[in-house]
Parts: sequence; structure tokens; C-alpha cells
Amino acid sequence: MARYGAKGVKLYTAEWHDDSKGWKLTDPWALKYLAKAQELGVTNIHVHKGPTIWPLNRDSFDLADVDDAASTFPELNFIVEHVGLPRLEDMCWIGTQEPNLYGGLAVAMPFIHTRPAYFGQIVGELLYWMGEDRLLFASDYALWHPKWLVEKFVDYQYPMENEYPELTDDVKRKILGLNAARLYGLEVPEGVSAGDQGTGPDVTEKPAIPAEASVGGHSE
Amino acid sequence: MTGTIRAAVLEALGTVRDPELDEPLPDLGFVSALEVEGDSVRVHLRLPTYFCAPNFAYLMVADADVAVRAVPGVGRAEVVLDDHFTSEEINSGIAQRRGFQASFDGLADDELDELRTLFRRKALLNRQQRLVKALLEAGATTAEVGRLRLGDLAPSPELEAYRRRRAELGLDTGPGAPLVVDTDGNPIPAELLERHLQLARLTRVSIEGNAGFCRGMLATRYDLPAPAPLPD
Repeated sequence: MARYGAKGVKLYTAEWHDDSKGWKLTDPWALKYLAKAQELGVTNIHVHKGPTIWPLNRDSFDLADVDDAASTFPELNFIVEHVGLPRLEDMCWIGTQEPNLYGGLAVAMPFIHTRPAYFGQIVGELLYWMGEDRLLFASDYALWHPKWLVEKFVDYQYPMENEYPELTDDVKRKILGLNAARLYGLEVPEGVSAGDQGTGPDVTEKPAIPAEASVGGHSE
Repeated sequence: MTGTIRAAVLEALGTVRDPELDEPLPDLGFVSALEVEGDSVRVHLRLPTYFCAPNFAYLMVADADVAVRAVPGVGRAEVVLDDHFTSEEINSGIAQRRGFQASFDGLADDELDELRTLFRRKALLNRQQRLVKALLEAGATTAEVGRLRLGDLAPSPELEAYRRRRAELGLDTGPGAPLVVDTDGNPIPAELLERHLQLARLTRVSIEGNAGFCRGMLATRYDLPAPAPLPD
């Protein structure tokens, strides 16, 4: 970490190996790992949530462990890859409670081509619940060249009537790079800005909702 | 007789839902075959991927098994899940009535009641939001919707579906019960109504999106014309 100055790591909680049937960010040694990451200045924890996590009687896609870890380590940023799909509702709900939770759009991005209205719903809900400063473009570069995705997103407008926040050029600039640049301390080329860049996560205070109204069961 | 049983079994399967997608198995294309011989019935289920979550898969097979056995005239009944990485565990677990935990010895630390309740809550919000959306599109205001009782709505399949979700959670389904409630059946205070409806919308968007995704995967896996067809 010191040699390369790494600021982020990618973790796969659905890893199966020998006796291990996946793990959670709240497992004792995972907590130690996160504490060490913080000590080393590795501030961006990318979490790939996935299926088949022990125990099988629980919802294997749930994000409760990310929720807990984000509370325990408020100095770390937790980037949930594929924005928690198929649990978009958990993702958004946790996002309203944890200001250090981010959404990585890998896997969600290509819906812009195959199901543009659904893509609009995903991005619209994320913008509504989490704000424009906590979403990161991702290209799934191992599958294809990102050029087409970037171009499609730049041109994208919601194809349906909706009540979602507007997807302006500034919002797109943030998602496409400015938000990631902030997380990784990257220099942004001159002339590229979203006006209010660098103001940090937008966690607009929203009216409280009774705990029992939550369907995700995130408090353990 | 065989034809009658066949129709009755199909109808029974129509009451069994994917807990996660909140839709009946036949509508999703998950019923791949139905064999009837005399009073013996064998149902084949299939899923969009080899790796679909075993817990939801188990619930679907178990629910289908119960539904088919309850059909009058059915003697022997067998429901099997094909082409899944835990087909063997699930099929033998169901056939021997072992329960989920014993079927997945060492991999589960409880039965699936909690999981089922969690997804029934999501299904409740999904169905509630479909009704609310239709009312809002017809010109009602949010405040008006917030004051409605179940008895104020015209009968419809969508209303019936919502009532069933409420009944499954033990919530009031009477005509005087508020239409918009939280997942414990409590009415929503006016100042929290907007927020509640947006949470319900989010839940519907997620469930519908996942259902669309699963349909696509199933169609690709089995080379089906989309959307998923009903079995003959």
C-alpha cells in the first residue's frame, strides 16, 4: 500500500473457498482489516455484494453489513458496486442514513442500452435518495470498451415521465468523473467542473420516518 | 378427469409466487412442465439461472408442493426443480419434508420464516404502490389517497392482490382499513405520507426491475420467446 499509494481496495464478500461460504464486513477479522485500511490511508472500500453468502436462510444480497460497517467507520468511504442490485431499495435506504456510502454503477450502466427506462429509474431513485455527489460511473471495462457507454450517458435523457431529480450536464459530470476524482484526490483538468464541485456528499436532511416503516431490516 | 385436474393444478400453481419478484410462477415462466397421469401429478419448475438463491428456490418448490397437494382429486404429487445447483438438496428435502435447514445441513442456521416475512413486507409496498400510482394518475392528490379506506376502491384484481398481501402479514383487510399503511399495518401520519409513498415507489421499481431482469435471463437460458409464456 505504501509503495503504490493505494487509496482504495475492492472486496468480494461472496467469496467461497474451502470451508468459507462468503463473509460479511462485520465479521471480526473484516473489522480488523477495515481498521488497518484506515490506518494505512486506504479510504475507499469498494464492496462487490453478491449471491450465495452463508447462512443460506438470510437474503444473500442484503446490504446490512455495509450499513453497519459504514456506521462503524465513518472516516472510510464505502462504494457499493452495482449499486446494490438486485436490492436497489436497500441501497437507497441505507444511503439516506450513511453519508459515507457511495454507489458504483458497474453492471447498472449497460441497462442504458438494453432497458433505458429501467436505467432511468435506477439513476432517478439513486439521485432522489442519495444525491448527485455519491454516484460513480463504471464501465465494466473487462467486457467492452467504455467509449460507447460514456457517449450514451452523456446524451441520455429520461425516456419516460418521472418525478426524479433532473439529470443535468453537471450531474453527469459528477457521475462520470468528478465524484471519483474527489474520492481519489485526482487532479481534474482545467475547465472541467460542475459548479459546486468539492462540496462533499449531498445528504439533504429528509423528514424522519419511523423505523418500522423500513422494510430492509438493517438494524441488527 | 385428467383435463380437469390439469386445469385445477395450473390454477393452484397460479397462487404460488416468487417471493422476491412478487409474481405467480406460471406468469414468470417458471413452470416448465406439468405431467398428469390419473390422479398422479408431476410438476417441473425451472429458474432463470443455475445459481439463483437457494432460499427463494426452496420456498417456491415448497409452496408449489403444498398448493398442488391441496387440489381435490390429486393423489400422488411431486414438484421438482430442474437445472439448479441445489436441485438435489431441494428436491429430496421437499420429498422427505425435511425443512430448509436440514436440507442444507451446515449451510443454514434457521428456517426461512424471517426471509419470507421480509419479502412479504416488500410485496405489500409493491402492491400498495401500484394502486396508489393508478389513483394519482387518475387525478387524486396525495392527501386524498392518504385518507382512502380499502372499501373506497372499486373491486379489481390489483386490489385483491393487495388484500392477499395484507392478509399474509396478518394485517386488516376490511373495508374500513386505511389503504396506505406501513408494513405493520399502521396508518401513515400526514407529514410522512409523501416519504412513505416514495419508499413504496422505490420498492416497486426494484421488484419490477428484478422481475424484468429475471424474465430476460430465463428467456435467454431456455431460448424462449419473451415474455415468458404460460405452459400448455
